Amino acid sequence: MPRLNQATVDAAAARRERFQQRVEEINRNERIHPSLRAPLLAKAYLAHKAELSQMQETWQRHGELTAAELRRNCSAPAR
Amino acid sequence: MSGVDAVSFRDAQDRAAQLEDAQQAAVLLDRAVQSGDHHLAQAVAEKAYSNASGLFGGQWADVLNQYAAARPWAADKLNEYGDALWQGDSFNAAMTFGVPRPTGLSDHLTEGQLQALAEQVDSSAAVLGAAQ
Repeated sequence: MPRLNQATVDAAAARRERFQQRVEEINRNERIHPSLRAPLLAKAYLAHKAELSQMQETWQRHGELTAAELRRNCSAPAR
Repeated sequence: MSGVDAVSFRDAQDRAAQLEDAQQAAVLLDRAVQSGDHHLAQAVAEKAYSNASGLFGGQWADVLNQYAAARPWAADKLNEYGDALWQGDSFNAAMTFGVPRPTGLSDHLTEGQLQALAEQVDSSAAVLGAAQ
């Protein structure tokens, strides 16, 4: 199989891991009043979502450019 | 491209278009490489490229790798093909970039409600302090 973009997968996984740690921290930290947990979770969630959305957008753009270039290369005459 | 080359490449594309599966493609590609028929090799690679992004494209992707192995100068670009293929894979993209709601945050909240909740944090220094 062609190589998958492991770097992007790994980067997304690392961000997801960091997000999960933040969620656990918010849910378990007794210093945080229960009524404040939802706002903190919402903030962390939206930030994480925006981060991954940006990654996906960048990656899709890269993929489109690469695919277009490969189409040109495959269609070109032999050198 | 000379007129002869153009005809040769068009013929090669016609042959490649008739390929029904990746196994046939692999055999034809091997034959093309052995005989130095670059036009045919490229035409098979183009066909493989077109088919490899489908649900059952794995074997076609192998044909592309075979092409790359025979043409080192193309290997880098074809390796990047894997990236392009992957980004078109909506399942993998959903798995990688999807963000499920965390425990403690209701699935019923709308994006607007989430935004309003998040802004409560920004408007309260005490909350920020408690979160440290």
